[in-house]
Amino acid sequence: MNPECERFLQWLDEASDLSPPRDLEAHAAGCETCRRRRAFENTMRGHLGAGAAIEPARRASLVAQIAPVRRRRAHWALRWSWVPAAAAAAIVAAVLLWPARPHVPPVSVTQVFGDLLGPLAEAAQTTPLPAPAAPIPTNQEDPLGLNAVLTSIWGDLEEPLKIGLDAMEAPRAAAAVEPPAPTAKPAGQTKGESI
Amino acid sequence: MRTLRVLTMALVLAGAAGAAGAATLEMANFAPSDSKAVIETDNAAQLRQTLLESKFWDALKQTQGFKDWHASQRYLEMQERLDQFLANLKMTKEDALKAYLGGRSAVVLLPSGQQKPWGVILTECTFENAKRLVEATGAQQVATRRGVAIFEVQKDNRLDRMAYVRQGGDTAVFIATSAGGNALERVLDVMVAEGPSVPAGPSLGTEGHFQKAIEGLPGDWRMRAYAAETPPRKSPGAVAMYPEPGGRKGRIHFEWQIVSGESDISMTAPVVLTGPQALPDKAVAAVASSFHPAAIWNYVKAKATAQGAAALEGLSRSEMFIRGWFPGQTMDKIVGAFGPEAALAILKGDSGGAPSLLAMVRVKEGGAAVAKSFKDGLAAKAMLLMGLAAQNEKAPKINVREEAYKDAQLLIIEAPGVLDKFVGNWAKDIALTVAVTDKWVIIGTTPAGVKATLDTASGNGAGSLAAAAGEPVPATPLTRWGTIMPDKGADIVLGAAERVAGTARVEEAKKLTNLAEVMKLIKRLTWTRVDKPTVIHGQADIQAIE
Repeated sequence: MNPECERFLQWLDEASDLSPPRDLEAHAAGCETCRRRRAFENTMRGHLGAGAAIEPARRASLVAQIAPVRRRRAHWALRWSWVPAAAAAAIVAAVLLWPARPHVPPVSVTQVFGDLLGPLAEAAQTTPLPAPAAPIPTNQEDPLGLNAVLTSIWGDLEEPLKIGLDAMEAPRAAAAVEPPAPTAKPAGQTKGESI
Repeated sequence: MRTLRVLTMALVLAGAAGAAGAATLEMANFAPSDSKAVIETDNAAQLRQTLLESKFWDALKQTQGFKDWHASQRYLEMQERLDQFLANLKMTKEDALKAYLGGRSAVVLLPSGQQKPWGVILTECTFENAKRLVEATGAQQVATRRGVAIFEVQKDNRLDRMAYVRQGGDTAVFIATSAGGNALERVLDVMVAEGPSVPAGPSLGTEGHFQKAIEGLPGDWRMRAYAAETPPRKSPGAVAMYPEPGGRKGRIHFEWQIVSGESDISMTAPVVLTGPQALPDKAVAAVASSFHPAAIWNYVKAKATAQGAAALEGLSRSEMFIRGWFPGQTMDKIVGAFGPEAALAILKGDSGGAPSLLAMVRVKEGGAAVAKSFKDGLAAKAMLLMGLAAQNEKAPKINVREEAYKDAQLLIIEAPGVLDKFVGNWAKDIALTVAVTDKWVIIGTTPAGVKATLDTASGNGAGSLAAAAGEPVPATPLTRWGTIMPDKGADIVLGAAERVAGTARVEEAKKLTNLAEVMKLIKRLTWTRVDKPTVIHGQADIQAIE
């Protein structure tokens, strides 16, 4: 390979922008191969730039994969210039089709919402809740009807309380979390101060 | 410059309109019409923060149960899950709460065909944040429904399914569920139409039973829970919560409405209640209620008649039992003499004295003779017992006496020696005491409690419960008005519990639940109930200690 072409390729591999030094600019002006090489690089970087979702780390990784091709191309490009062009085009296509979403450890979002919405429900599991209303006794068992009176008063609040308690439980139901049976662990194993 | 100002103002107004629009997202409109329950919250993040910063939460944190939970594997896993989520999301916890729980959110419970319902979480956020949330869970798109992408993520043995739907502008509703079946699709079918030919499915928000349950509730709620079947009636009902209404710190207001259907309310018809004005301010818990004995008796008679001979025989025995307490009176006279109001109360004793249980019933005009017959009949029975006890050394001793108090004659029945082993020194204060005025029959367990009530009922007391309750008692007809003052009453309840259950057991209960401290944080709970022909409307106010 012409040493000037070799130098131009070296610069192209490492350049962050595509404005070459003056001497390489002069070479490219007279070298059809290097001029086309720079035009291709320009197009490819344009495509990569359009893929806004591509993270810098992945981009660097892809550039690293492209680099050996370029190295090989340094030896063969003059005669087989369409080969690296096709390879680079394939890589560009791969980049564009690459899944845009970075890999993240999976998280159960319903559990997280259940955790955030249900602190009181969690705590309520640990404290006694009002007992359900006693069945209304017969007159023979309760001649003064005191239990019936108390049940009637309890009836004022029974239904709204039931709705309220179920509402507290609902985030856990949505997260399909079973009511806890707290099992104490050594205090040192706790983490964080707030929920 | 003028154009710029006009343009700026237009943009601000447009933004405000957008914000107002976002605040009125009705999650019930996204719930399928057969939803079992919908719990909607406005700015759950702020409500959560209010709770966690409250004295109530501080007190709860001191309970043994809470400490056990805080030290549990379950709590540790919860923290780890949250940390991982926030790391994936690249947000702080505060920002995440604001982004995803700062608007309207809801939990919808759908029928699953099994006992446990399917739960679906819906929350309002920006479209970008919804997308970001899906990405942060590591979910992948697996399908579409009505043009909406459905994402899934597997974590351990759980499969979470989620989607988000734009609601105009930048607003979106994020939907997630861990339920199996088609819970997510059912919500999407309600939220999204499929072209002009397939409209969105019917929502709970437009259903008559939902509208009936919420129609009486003020619209500025911060949390509203609807249930399609609330036991014991198994009818639709809704409860709404209004924290710090009118800027009153430490106050939570609740309103609820239960659909009762077409029902006969003759037994619970609302009346203007005067009991709270008659009860003294030393009451720590009280209930005043409409009371219609004639309607109750008619109902019982009709029911027995419908049930047949055995029930009629029981009715006859009940009538004899009741008439036994009112010598010389017919049943019609008895039920016609009282009402339309009755009250029950617990009064705090003076200087560590015994608390008093108190019951009082309004006497109707012309009912004084019946009321007096009750007092005389009770005195006769007590004297009979006193005579029998005198003949048997092992029988408990009973004293019956009358005592004049201002314009009233008190009947006082004591049983010295019987109560000592149960209530200790309090026994000397306790005596069944009955007073009859032209307006009330008052029955109490201490003479002091009945005297204080006589004073207040005649307008000569130190102060009425109505004044002490911190709430004006509505002048409109009510079925019930009740108040409980835990901070004043906790000592009575716990003192009585210690005498009955023993100090050691009560101490154990206190340690486990921090019950005494939690009770002392609540100044009062006041509630009302109004029965209407098709619904029951209730209100409650909880005032925390400031």
